[in-house]
Parts: sequence; C-alpha cells; structure tokens
Amino acid sequence: MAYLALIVEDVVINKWELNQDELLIGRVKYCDIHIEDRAVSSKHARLTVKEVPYEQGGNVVLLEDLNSTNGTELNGNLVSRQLLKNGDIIKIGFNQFKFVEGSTLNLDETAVIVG
Amino acid sequence: MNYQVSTLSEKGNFRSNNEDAIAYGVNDKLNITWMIIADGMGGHLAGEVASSLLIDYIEKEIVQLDAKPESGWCRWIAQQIVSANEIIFEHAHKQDECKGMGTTGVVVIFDKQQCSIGWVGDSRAYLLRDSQLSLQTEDHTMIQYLLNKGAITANEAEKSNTKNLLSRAIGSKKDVEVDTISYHAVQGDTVMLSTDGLHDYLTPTEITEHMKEFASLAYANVAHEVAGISLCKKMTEQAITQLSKDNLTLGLISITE
Repeated sequence: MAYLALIVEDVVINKWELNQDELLIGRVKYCDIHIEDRAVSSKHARLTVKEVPYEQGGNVVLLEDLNSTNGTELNGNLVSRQLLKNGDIIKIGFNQFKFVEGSTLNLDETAVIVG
Repeated sequence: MNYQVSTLSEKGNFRSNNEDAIAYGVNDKLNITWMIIADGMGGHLAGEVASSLLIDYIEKEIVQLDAKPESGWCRWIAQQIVSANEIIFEHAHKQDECKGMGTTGVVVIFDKQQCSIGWVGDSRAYLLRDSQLSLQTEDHTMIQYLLNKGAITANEAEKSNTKNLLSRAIGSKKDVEVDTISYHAVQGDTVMLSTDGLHDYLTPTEITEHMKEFASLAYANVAHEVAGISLCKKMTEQAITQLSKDNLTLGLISITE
C-alpha cells in the first residue's frame, strides 16, 4: 500500500494510505486530504491510483494539479500531471508531502524511534 | 502512608503478544512504594524482551536497596534507567532477533510525602488530586518535540496520526536522556501509570472518572483488590471498544492515609 506522508523537519506528522481510486487534496473539509492552509486551494490536487495492466497488484499513482492558485510542486518543479515514484516530494502551499510506495514506510508499530 | 494498588496488563484484541509490562512493590526496609511500567517495541518478540529487561533490572535494584540515595530519588531513578538502557542496548546488539528493540519506561517512587517520577517515551503518569486530573509526564514523541519548538500547531499535533513516533526510548541508542519530576504527595492523591494503548483511547474526562472511582474504592476498603482489578478491566475494555488495537497496561495507586 502506497502512502502520502506529511513531513515537517523530516518527521512524518500525518500519513494517508492511498487505498481508494482517487484522493482529493485541498482546503475544503470534504477533501480526502484536508489541509488548513490559506495557500492551498479549495480543491488543489488529485491523486489517482491506477492498476498496471498485466501486473498482479501493481499500481501507479498519478498526481494532478487542479488549476490551483499557487500550483503543485513535485521535487521542486511546478507540475500539472505527473506519475509519482517512491520518495517524490510534493509541495502544496506550505505543506511538504513525501510519496512512499509499497510497505517501505512502516508506521504501524507501537512506537518507533526516529532521529 | 498507606497505598492501595491495582494493576492490569492486557494483550488486547489485535496483537499476537504483549510487549507491555508492569511491576510494583514495597521496600519495607526503606518504607517506599514503587511502580514501573514499560511498553516495548521491536520486531518479533523483541519488544517483550526490552520491556522485561527494563522491569527486571529496576525491580532488582529497588528490592536490593538498603539505604535511601543521598542524591535523591529523581537522580537515582534516572541513573537506573540509564544503566538499564546500556543493558538493553548491548543485548540488542548481541542478539540479531533483538536488533532495534527498545522500550518506554515510567518509574514512580513514593517515599513518605514525596513522589518521584522518571520517564522516557510516551508512557505516562497522571495525578488525580481534588478531582483534578494532571499529566505529570510529557511524551517524548516527535510530535511533542515539534510542538514544543513551534514547528507545528496544537491543532496539527492533535490531528496527527503519527503520534507514536518516539523521540526517545530506552535501549534504542547508546545514551538516553531521562526526565524526572518530584512533588509533595498528599492523602487522597491517586496516580495512574499507563501505556499508549490505554490513555490514547480514553478521554481525560473518562480517565478522571475512573480514577475518582478508584480513589473511592480505596477509601471504602471493601474487597478492594477485586474491585480495583475489575475497574482496571473496565478501563481496558472501554479503550478497546474505543478502537485501541495495541497492548493496554495501567497501574493505579491511591494514598489512603
């Protein structure tokens, strides 16, 4: 299962499993990834999870900017549509997210020491 | 001073093993009452090993103690946790299956009117006095760390679903920093030590009500042991109902006179 992790100073402060076909990122409350930040548009970006044909369980994740006011950055560049790869950094408003593919990010333990 | 004590440690409904541990006792020679709680972490059974190593070490040291530490209880607790850290860290490096293990830990010692607490990690000590609940420990989590330095807001911290990321643990690194607190204890105080599988799934109001009930049981003094464990059970069951998927452990201590 892929994750989108919200990062502050290299620490994951929130994570979302990409477990549905589409996830909306934005400032309005009904967004799947709801961000309270004035620099974020109401409906800012969308993540679409697509199955890879002929590959059992294989998925790709597409990031799309929804004509947001301040744009969506992927690894420092403004993008409109882009397939994500493991470790990509997405910046939306003042928020920095990391895309983590598969089970490489295990946050399900009782407690994990970091730093 | 007299103390009424009840403890419970439950595996819960989702974990295959219980990585939490708790112990308490009285050192008659020194007339002190103590309790320690731990929440282990690490793959396979390593978490269990780490929490047991901590509990066993601290218990052995308290039981053997035949004089009160000149430098005070807080310093003594911190020194014992630092020593336990070395033992757990070395064990983890000798045994492949224990690599990366660690544990949280809270130690409380009551010596007459003084209550001393030392801790590492996100296990907690609460105090109920005059029906007011106060958290005596501050979680050593990355979220708390970011909140303290102003990198995130209280709202962001509250909404975080990664509160389990620890900034400190016992045995995970060669060195560990222990926080301590000491306060003047009075008759009627009730202290609760708990692991996150319990306190993360009960509201402060619910914790207050349960601790008040424990305090009243302690005063009634009728079949206290059974009633106390039954209350602990009620608390763990409530946390499980409120979606705790972790191990759950708590220890309650009331000062009755």
